[in-house]
Amino acid sequence: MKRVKMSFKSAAPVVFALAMSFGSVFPGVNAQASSAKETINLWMLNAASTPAIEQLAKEWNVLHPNIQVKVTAVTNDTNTYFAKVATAIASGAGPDIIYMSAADYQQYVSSGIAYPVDRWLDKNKSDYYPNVLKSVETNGHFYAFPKTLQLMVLYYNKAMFAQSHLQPPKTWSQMLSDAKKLTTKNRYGLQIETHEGGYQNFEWYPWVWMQGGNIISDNGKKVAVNQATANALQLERNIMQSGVAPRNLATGGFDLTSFGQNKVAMAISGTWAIPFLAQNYPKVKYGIVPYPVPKLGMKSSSDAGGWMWMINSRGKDPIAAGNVMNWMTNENPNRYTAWLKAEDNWPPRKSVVTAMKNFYQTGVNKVVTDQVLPVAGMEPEWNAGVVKAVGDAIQAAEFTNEPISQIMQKLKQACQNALNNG
Amino acid sequence: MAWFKLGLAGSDSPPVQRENTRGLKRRTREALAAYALLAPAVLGLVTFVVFPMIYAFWVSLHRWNALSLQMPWVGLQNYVSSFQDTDWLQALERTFLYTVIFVPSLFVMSLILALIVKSVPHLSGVFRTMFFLPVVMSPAISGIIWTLVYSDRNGLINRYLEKFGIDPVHWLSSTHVALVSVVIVSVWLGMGYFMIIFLAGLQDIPKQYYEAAKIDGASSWQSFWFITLPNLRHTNIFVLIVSIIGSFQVFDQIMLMTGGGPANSTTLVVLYIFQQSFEQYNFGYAAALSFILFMIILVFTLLQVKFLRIDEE
Repeated sequence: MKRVKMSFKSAAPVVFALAMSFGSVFPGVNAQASSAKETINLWMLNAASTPAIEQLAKEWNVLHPNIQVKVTAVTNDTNTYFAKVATAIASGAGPDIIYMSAADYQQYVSSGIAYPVDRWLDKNKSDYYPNVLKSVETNGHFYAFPKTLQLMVLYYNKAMFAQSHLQPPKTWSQMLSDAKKLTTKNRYGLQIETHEGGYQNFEWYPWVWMQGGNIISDNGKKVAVNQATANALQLERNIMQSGVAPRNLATGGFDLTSFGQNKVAMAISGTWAIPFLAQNYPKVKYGIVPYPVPKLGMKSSSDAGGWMWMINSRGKDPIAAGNVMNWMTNENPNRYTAWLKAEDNWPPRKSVVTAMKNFYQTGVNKVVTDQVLPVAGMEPEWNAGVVKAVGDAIQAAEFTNEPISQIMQKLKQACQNALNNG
Repeated sequence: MAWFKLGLAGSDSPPVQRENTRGLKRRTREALAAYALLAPAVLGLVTFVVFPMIYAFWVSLHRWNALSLQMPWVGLQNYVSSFQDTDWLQALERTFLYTVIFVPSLFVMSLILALIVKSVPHLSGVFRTMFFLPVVMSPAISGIIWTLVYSDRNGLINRYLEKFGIDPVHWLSSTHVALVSVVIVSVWLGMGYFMIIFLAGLQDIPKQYYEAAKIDGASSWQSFWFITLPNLRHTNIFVLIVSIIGSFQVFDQIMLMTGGGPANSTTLVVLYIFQQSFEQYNFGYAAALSFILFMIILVFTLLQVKFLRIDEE
């Protein structure tokens, strides 16, 4: 008996250490033991809208003491964010509510992660814009609470344009010649995205759409690249090879720090930069215009992106998670207000546009509402293979001398392979 | 530690009696204690290394996107596909090119630094700290610093080139230069560590060899060529093989500085595997590529073992 007792005694520290090590492997067990409350984990990118979402969560938590929402701003890098979400889901520890991008939407729906949200959205369906609803609909069901809209535009520095006696560009050739005139030793004429990825594609698609072209057909089943695609690639090459744009951006094209510091005269970016400039560079006088077109008389285009909210069907309580998002985004449109203003997003709902009329009809917002919103297409939800194929084509156009026809051939083939592989 | 004491000391019994009775118990107790002490480490190794490796191999035989609960069995198809994947083959080719530039550069720079530190004994502490600093620096910080140094217009290097009337170089945004720029950073990051290895090797060479050579009228270069290098062969093999293995695993600085661009010109194998898994959701295929990379690294590891054994013999 003595020996047995000693063995237990000696093994106790080891057993304790093992128990401590594995405690973190079973977080649910610990959570239940410490509290009877249900916790809904909401994961999102660390974005300008995060404080507004956190505020909404606080309000929810006060009203619903038994279901507490925990907001986690995982990171500010999209790739890292989705790597963490995928890893967490694979290990059974995914969040209950997932901040979802258009580029990843289909992957999550086809994998059975997305929980249908019809029961909540059906009640207010008529208040949403049809194209917004379409972007969260697959096989007749809604799989996410719709995003707020971030629109792509062209920013220009009014003082620099006035100094050079220039008008904001309306055509591609004007944009290039203005950029050349405005490029100096310490300033670039135009900033576009240089890093490969979903965002670069997102910025580039409107150049194709405004010519009536596309990459994949509307039904998502056929490769649709044509001369419009080639022209848009050629435009990208012309901008980069003429030396009017920085070839390597410290952060990315979404970041208008250089524009705010007067190191760039024009920049293609999204409406999220409006509050950014107001907050960080209030003295910079700038204007916004829609993307220039190939020839006068053609209709411009834009890309309406944004982030939707998906409910994890493998979460601990999808209904409770759905109720949370319904409360935040669907039940009462007024709850959007702070969140929309934080990133200068446009609402997906008609009633909110009406309710916030003053906000959307003032200053640069009026240009976006009147000239950009009506011509914007929704951010495509093509699979990751197509996104990579388009990204490779843009990079080849920007940074190599490979003939555009050859890039187009590769793009077609890569898109076809991506569609074949699902 | 009480159970050790009980077995090893504290008994006044004759040696024979101890061997027959308490000796047996002591061995059992010692074995149990050893197992108990080793258990956490073994368990950690099995949980975090062995099991993930076996699971990764299992995944490599399936088509899986990490999100789906279904994992269709594809056998060796993922391995076969890799031979037809031109992007993968190009990434492999680029990695070999990276290795060819990186390994000799790292070898030469580390050796030079070690020789400098050894030749100035009164300043060796200062030099050693200076040269070793990049090794302890976070790769993220290094990446940011070098991105600024390489900046087209305001970067340190281009500013200096401008003073000599040389046009700015697109260090990170030219498909011809970006890989070399990454190599420079990798050498900067690694040379401090290998300097220490060389320094240890240099200090093992008996001084008498140099003194004898000096008496015979050998120049510094002859001493280096005929004494230093041959006596460092053990260290040389280690540095070469380890740096080759390291060159196949490079990831951090590329991810931070170029993201594999421009136009995939710095997409090396590990980054490609990362893209296949976390951007393309091809986890099965990415696992297969990881095992191919593992086999390549295994070959170099076996070569190292073989060369070191020959050297010892």
